[in-house]
Amino acid sequence: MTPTAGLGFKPQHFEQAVACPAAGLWFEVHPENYMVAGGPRLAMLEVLRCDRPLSLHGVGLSLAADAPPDPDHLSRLRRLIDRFEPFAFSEHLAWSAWGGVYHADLLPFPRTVAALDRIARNVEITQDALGRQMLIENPSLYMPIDGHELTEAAFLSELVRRTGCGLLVDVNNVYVSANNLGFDAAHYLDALPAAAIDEIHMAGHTPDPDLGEALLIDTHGALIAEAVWALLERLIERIGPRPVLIERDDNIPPFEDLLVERDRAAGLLENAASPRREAVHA
Amino acid sequence: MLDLSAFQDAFVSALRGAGALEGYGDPHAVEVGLTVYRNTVAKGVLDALAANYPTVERLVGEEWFHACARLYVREQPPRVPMLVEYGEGFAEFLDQFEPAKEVPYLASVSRIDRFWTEAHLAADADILQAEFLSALAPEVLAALRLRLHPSARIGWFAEPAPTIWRLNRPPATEPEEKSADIRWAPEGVLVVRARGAVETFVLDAAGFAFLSCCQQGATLTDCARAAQSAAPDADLGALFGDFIAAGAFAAPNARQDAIAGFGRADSSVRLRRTAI
Repeated sequence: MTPTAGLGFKPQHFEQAVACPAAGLWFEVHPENYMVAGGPRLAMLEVLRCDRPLSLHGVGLSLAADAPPDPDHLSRLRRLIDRFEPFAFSEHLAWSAWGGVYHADLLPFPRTVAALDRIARNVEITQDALGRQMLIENPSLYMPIDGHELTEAAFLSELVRRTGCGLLVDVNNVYVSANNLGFDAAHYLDALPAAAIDEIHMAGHTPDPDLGEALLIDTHGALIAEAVWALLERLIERIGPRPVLIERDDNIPPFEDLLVERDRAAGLLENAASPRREAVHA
Repeated sequence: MLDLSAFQDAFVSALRGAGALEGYGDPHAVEVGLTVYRNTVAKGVLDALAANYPTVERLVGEEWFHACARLYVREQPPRVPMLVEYGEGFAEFLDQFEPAKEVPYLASVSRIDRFWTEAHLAADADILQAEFLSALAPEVLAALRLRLHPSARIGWFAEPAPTIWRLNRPPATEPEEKSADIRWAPEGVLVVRARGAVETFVLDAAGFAFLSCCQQGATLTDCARAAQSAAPDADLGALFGDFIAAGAFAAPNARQDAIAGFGRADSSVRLRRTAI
């Protein structure tokens, strides 16, 4: 089955997820939640994987730390990848582990040439350890940092060129970061190398309760904004259909409600793939 | 050129509230951003601890739990990104935590919450079937050293912590009056995930002595002797039968078996941010 539009898997939706007949539906999980010895988590993933393509989306590798990735964590990832054979493995352009402590977030850093050297090396180490290509995702940003030497789009493009990694473009993160730091989201997306983009994330954000629209928070706790849908449409128009994931991690609605957004994304992909549309554009 | 390590050192200190992140841009904008990261990091780990200790939180209330959890997190922050297993030393922390002494059974309850998490995440294994034992000659049976199921956890408490735990573990909705009915005596507990879902059983002195002996690798004869000396009038046959039915023992050849018992609020990593 070719994955089209997918959903972040929620254990409370297990039965509906398994029973759902939608063509092209796939699921994504954070591997960290399945790094356990046994039990219902892994059993559930086994069942899900029988019928559906799966993607592993890591949050704990801390690639942008000024240190090589933790070999223990790489082995844990490798075991899950060998067992579940995901069609994609992705991580973030961010750091979370430092000084032996795991900070449960995706933290920012100054995008310098030196940082690029370090992160490119970390991506290579990871790809070697896992024996496969990985995708790198753009994070949502909240803090302007003086001293960036590359734009994020240039930084990601350079990572692709040096390491052969692919990109996971989180359109909502681009929208949120552009809003918070004051850049143009469409220009950012236009600058990414089309051939490297192998997955797209879509999610909802929430204005900060104190600062309002000036500070958008990537809560994954609301419906996807129309402006983000518009950016997705524009991106797909340029690069063609790619697997799109609907992420929801807070205020989780019934499965059917998630499917509505998932089906909307599937519709866009189908439209982009149809030959009739290509003819119209020719 | 900015040094990445120096930035990360400064960022982590600022995250912990030890001063501002100076020299990296407009102080106000930096502080606004830091607050988002600070809140997200704090909430992620507090949520993970609360998900793994729901009975403790229920007993002391959210406000008390959060105040206590913040101190615990500062002392024992997560070292690995698998937050599903976070909070290993929380019971020992509560043992030493002065305000917790007002609730003398709190640390014991936290140990049972921890047993639940460990049982939930433990390795799979087939359970020992009664038929296997009935095929054995009596002298073989007497010398048999049974292995507890890999998910099995046992404990003995000076207070009726297992009963308190069972009455309060969410989503239990037992009326609070029931607490008046608790018989104030020592109790043991067996927590095991033998058939998919985690189950708990309250143990008497004989039951705990039997399983504890078994856990140490003793023969069935020695386990029975220990149970008998803990409670001379114990019905050992019934006790052993109950443990087999509960799936307390692993089959000699373990294999995989699991599913069900999921779908509760859990401590999974979420890509969720928290506003200022």
